Amino acid sequence: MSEQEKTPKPDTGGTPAPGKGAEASAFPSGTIYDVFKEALPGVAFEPAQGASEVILHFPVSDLTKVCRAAKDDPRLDMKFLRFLTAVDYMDEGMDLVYQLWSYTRKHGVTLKTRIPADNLRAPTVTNVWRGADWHEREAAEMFGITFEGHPNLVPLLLPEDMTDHHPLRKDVPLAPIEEWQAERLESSAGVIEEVVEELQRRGRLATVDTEAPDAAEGEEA
Amino acid sequence: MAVEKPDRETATPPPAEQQAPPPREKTGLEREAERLVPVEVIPAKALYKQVLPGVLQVPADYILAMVRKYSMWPMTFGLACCGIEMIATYMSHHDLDRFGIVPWASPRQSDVMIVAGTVTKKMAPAVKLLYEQMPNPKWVISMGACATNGGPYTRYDRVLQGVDKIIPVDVYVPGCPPRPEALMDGFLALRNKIMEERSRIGA
Amino acid sequence: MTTLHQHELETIDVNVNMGPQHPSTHGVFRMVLTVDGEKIEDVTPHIGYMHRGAEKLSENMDYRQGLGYHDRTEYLAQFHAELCYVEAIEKLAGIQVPERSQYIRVILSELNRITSHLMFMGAFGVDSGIFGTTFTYAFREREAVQDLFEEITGDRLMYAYFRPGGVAWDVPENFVERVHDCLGHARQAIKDVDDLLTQNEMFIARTRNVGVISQEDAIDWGLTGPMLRATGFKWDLRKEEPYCIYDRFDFDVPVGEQGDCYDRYRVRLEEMRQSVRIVEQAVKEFPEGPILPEKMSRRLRVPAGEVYGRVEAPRGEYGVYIVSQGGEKPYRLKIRASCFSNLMALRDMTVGGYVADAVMVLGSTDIVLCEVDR
Repeated sequence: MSEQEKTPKPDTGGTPAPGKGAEASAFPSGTIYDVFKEALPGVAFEPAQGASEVILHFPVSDLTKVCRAAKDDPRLDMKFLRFLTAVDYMDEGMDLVYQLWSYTRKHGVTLKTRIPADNLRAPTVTNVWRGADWHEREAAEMFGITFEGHPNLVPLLLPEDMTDHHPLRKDVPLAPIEEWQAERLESSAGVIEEVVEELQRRGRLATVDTEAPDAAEGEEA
Repeated sequence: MAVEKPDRETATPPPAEQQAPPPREKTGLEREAERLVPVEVIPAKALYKQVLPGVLQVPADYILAMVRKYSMWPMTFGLACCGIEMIATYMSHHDLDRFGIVPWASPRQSDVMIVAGTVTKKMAPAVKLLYEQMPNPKWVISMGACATNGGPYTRYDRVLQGVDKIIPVDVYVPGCPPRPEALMDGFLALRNKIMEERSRIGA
Repeated sequence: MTTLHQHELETIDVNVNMGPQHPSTHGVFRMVLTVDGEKIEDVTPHIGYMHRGAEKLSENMDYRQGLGYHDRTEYLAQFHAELCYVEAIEKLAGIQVPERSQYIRVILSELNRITSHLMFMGAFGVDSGIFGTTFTYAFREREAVQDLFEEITGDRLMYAYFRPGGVAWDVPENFVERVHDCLGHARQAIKDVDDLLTQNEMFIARTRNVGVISQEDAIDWGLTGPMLRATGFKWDLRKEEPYCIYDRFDFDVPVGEQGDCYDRYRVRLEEMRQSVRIVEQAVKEFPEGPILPEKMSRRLRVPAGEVYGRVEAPRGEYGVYIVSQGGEKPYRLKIRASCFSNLMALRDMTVGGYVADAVMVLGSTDIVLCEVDR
């Protein structure tokens, strides 16, 4: 794993623009990207270097093919699906993330596909790894993604009667602190200020200037 | 800082969502919870209170309260991390058995319900159901920050911001998680409360 | 089983609901068992009663504030969860951890593994009917180790002691003697539990050949940790993908044979012995020095990138996947909880057995509901 961190590149965590062929050829050789290229020549992979693993972007239409090859192909032999989740990029769509590992070959990869925001559907991988079952159910209820072919796509963690919005989406805010407590906080705010002033007057309160630039750093403000 | 503490009987449910959600089918647990009518505490008509009212009642209340407070059987209701500290308080290091507090799994034979841990909205009907299944007189100790007001998870909308939104709470034990000594302190405070409120408990 | 003809006795399958409040469900877990007499035909687990949104809340918090959620997610193996989180941040931000902190982390993590397994032994003993005995013995020693944790970190359960870059503050001067004390308690606990359970006929009768899962199934479901090692597959992240300084220590990885409940118990018992070995080696080489790197900024700003950090927690592989777009808060933080994947295989392990076995299988999975639900 350490040899993959030789030339770390900033990750393409944002939108991977199409036509990144020039960057792909600049990717260092001898990584899992080459094995994937060999095993799946027809799929357009876009590699990136994450802090712990190589990340491979590919279009969602190839998802089933890539996952099946990742598990069955003897050069890849990734029988362990660590987790599968999604990352919300709002209007640009969502990234589905699959973290794989091979026990026999001792190599792993992060596979990512982008699904568009207006069509949140993806094929299921429960027929490849059975352990994707609950992961897909959770991603479905947290983000609103439909996994086609999943045997039992009902809410897993959320209450059955509260699935009107999907919590992990970026446009869903945190809940406000409810009435009674908000009143108490407001009414006790004056008391807290008085106490702080009194302590400052007596010189018992050290103030930390959080806006000043840090002493240890130069360019970072 | 004069905020009225919400009254037991008029505990209001959490405020409605911003947009009214479409009416949905109730789950089995919710239907059960609605079916159970909460039992009102009727002022006692026990014999000792009818005969020479006031004469026998005062010592009888005192004795009954003493008996109840020295033998409180909590229902084991460890939901989350506070459950581990609750178990640690029952164990030999900080023994709770010496106070007469014996953990009991069934709600039908227990006196106290220790809500130890976060109550989520999915779990709330079950908590209410268990509370209604306990016979009178019963008390509730809300253990930990999550049961008091939602704790570190209060900003998530699937978490009930405090168990006192659905059941009346007698003692709040703060902490995340509270030390076993703090929970013992909560039980001792509950004892004082039982003794002070002895004339209002009922039969 | 029954000598009555089918025409004489009409039977139907009954749905039995266990939980969410049940003495043996180890937290708020609900199982709906479809039983034919006593034999289980189907199991439907219902989880989510403890879903508190740690991932969503972490997106709105500083990296340093988010540490507290990992303690509360894995509330029996807190140091492992914290270690995973801070190591992921260190990998992403490129922070070097000084030697003394590494040793502190390893010693505390392995002692935490011992306390976590002791909790399992206690709860598993209760499940199998040995009400109270194993629990009290295990907890007595667990309290002794927890006292050490309290002396160092200030808290009994939610330590929040590790920081990206090292640990929060230095350990007290008598740290090495206290660790030797705790090891004495740990050895006593292992001996007690071993004497009580390993050769116990009732225990063996309740756990042998119960909840068997094969190696291929285990890998397919994504099981990790003692559940996987009990099937005979030797995989331990401390040996295969060494993190922290585990490659400096000499220890064995116990594996089982059949993949039943008894093997899982034996694997965990042996792991406790190996943890004692690791701690003994670590305190011998315990170095002096700083606990945080010199150039440590007060504000933690992590560059853009992605990382998946994982550790070998007592229940399996606990992982944290962070997507960062620069700044002080993560863009997406996903917790790969070991018990979430372990619990998926529950159906395979319980179908065909009896109702009483379902309790044993659930106990041997050693679930922590806050991890399953996050």
